[in-house]
Amino acid sequence: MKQFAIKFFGFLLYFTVFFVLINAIYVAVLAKTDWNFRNRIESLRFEDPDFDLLVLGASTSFDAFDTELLTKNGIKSYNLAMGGTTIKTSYIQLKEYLETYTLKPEYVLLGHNSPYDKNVDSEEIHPLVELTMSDHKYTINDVPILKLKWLGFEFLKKVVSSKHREAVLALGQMKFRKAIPDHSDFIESYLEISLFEESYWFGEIARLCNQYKLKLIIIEMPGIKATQNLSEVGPIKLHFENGHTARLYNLNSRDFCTIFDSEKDWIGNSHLNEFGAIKFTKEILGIIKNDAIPANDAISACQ
Amino acid sequence: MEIISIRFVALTILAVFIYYLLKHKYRTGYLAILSCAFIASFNYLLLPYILIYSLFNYYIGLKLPGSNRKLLLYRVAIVINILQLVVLNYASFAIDPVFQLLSLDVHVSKLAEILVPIGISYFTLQGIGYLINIKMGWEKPDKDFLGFIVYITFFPKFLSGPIERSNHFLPQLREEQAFDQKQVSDGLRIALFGFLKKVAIANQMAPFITSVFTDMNSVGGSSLWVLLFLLPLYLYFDFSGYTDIAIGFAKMFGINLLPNFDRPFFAQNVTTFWKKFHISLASWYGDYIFRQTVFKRRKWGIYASMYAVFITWTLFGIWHGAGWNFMFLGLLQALAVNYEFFTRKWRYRFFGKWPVFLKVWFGRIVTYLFYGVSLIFFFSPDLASAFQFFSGLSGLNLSIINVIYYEIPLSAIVLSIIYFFYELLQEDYSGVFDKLNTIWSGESRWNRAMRWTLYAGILSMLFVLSNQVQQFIYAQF
Repeated sequence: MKQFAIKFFGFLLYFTVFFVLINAIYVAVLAKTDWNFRNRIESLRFEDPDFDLLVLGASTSFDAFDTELLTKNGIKSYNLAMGGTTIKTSYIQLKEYLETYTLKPEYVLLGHNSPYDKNVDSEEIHPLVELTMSDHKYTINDVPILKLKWLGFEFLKKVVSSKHREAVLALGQMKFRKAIPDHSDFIESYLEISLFEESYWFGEIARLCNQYKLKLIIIEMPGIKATQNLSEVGPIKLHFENGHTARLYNLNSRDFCTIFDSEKDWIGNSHLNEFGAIKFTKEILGIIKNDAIPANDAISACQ
Repeated sequence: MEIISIRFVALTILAVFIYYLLKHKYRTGYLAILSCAFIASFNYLLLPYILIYSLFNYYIGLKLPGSNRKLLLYRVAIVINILQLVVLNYASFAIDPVFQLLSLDVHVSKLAEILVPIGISYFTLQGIGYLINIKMGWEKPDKDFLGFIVYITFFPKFLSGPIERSNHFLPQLREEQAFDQKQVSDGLRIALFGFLKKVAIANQMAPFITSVFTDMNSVGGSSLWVLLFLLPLYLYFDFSGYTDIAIGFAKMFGINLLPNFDRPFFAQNVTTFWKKFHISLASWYGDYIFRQTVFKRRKWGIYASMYAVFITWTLFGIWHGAGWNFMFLGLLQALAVNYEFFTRKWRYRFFGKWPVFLKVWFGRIVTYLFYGVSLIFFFSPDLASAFQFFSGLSGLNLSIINVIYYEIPLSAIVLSIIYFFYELLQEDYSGVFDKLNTIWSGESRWNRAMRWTLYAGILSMLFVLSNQVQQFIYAQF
């Protein structure tokens, strides 16, 4: 039994070394290859950024807002959105940005996809943001292969799919050329305004925008047919429980989504590819420039 | 105590070390204490119940051989065994509705809510099996009560089997065992692969499966088709994962449990499938129900088998739960087994002309799909939901690709493929498998480094994936 015990503890030692090594390699690979990881690191290392517009939100926003196109049209933009982000995380990212950098943006676009994320008051923080937050207290759960495990699955996708490898990151936006046709069917549904108005974290973002005099526009992000709703495009004025307000554009309305080609503009599960993103961003440009939000009313929308 | 937890694994390994430090005469008592503590960790009220249950069967077992009213005593004991199972497991289905018909406000099912009788379907079959063995004279009564408690409650197998036979299990307790390094290492390895199956494959598939069954109306036909193909894999990895953990941990204590799976998806027909899937349950029903029924009805000739098949499989279905869907599940298997029995000559002639490869794989695929269809009845809450599922299948469209791509974790798909490749080698290319196995289990430093790296990799994977708690499917019975 003594021999077995020695062997057993020898293995435990081997496992410990193996585990540390695996984590180190994992972080090194992610730092080189993962878009969310690179996006996050880039956004933490800006030198005196002077963006006019910041994009916040989850993966649908990460793919859909063409910040290069916005920049070419005179609105210097950066996409801070990340796959799997919660509204609380968007709040933390915005607060972090505003407290760190001197120059403040004029616009904040916050994308949200209601059919996929009804848990708008989730207290979870995006692991990448949590790991790199200045006041984070580290525990065993912060081991990179555990904390950032889904990035490993993304990495596997890149290993097996050249279309994934060809995707590029530009001003924080993820650009996919690949197209996965949307073959889903329409289901009758309506946008729940209460989901936004009753949300604590949407309200907090509105409060933060008001505090820094930023124009906040909340976008219900377009999705595949099965998720599109029959509600009006808007703008709809939201009244949060903390007394602040914001404008919501329902761009997942069936009326709006007719601009997309179901065969060419999607990359699956309500994510727009590069071509869909261009169409979408042109509409966003229209909303920002011509609209919809008259300059005076824009600020009051946050108040 | 959750089996999928570092605490359980660490305590079990520690318990193994202590076990071998004890003298043989104390070991059975030690296992009984461990098993009782395990049961109490779920619900302390269940422990006295199981001890009384064990004492009852132990006492009847002692009394049976010398009794003047042997048959009566045996029948009463069997009825009591079945009755306690019905009261604690089927009351909401079989007893409460009767009281409701009589306009009585009695809810026997409340008793189950208090006792939470986990593992009852398993230990009841073990209790009944023991009594049948004694009555038939296939086994002598066990005089060691502690040993009998361990037979009923042995913690690695308590929740979901394998369903042990007393004449297989009890002699192992009596035998004095020295510490066997190979036995303990093999046990650890088997358990490790069990955890891999459960955590890295079954648990990863679980969210998709649960979401489809909870929202069957709104998911499209494509999701239902994916589910139909996925369910056999899901159940197999979940249940065989648990079984591997049970067999592995038992092996570390020097106890070899009965096998429960033998590469079932390589079976070419339903009859063979049930000799390879949940073997301990199917063989229990085969030995104690099917054979006994055939023997009793032997005058009916060939129809005795047909009748026995229906009885056996209906009871087999009911064993899984209180509901018409489970009964239907059993009836489906009975129909298939009888069909195969009565058409075997015709099938032999028909398929005899086919190339072997085609014949073999056609049989495997049809058997797999048949089991997939059967499982819809297993997982559906009732018969109506099961039929609703089948009507939803008509909505198949190209979004099936999206469903597979986005809903099923890639890691689960990759690991499933690797695992089935491993089983394929064992089943169809045993020569190649043996050669690879010889290289794998070599004693050189490189061989060991290769093995340790794989085990360390699996442990790391488990560490990453084990934060999703999913109950074992067969632990509900």
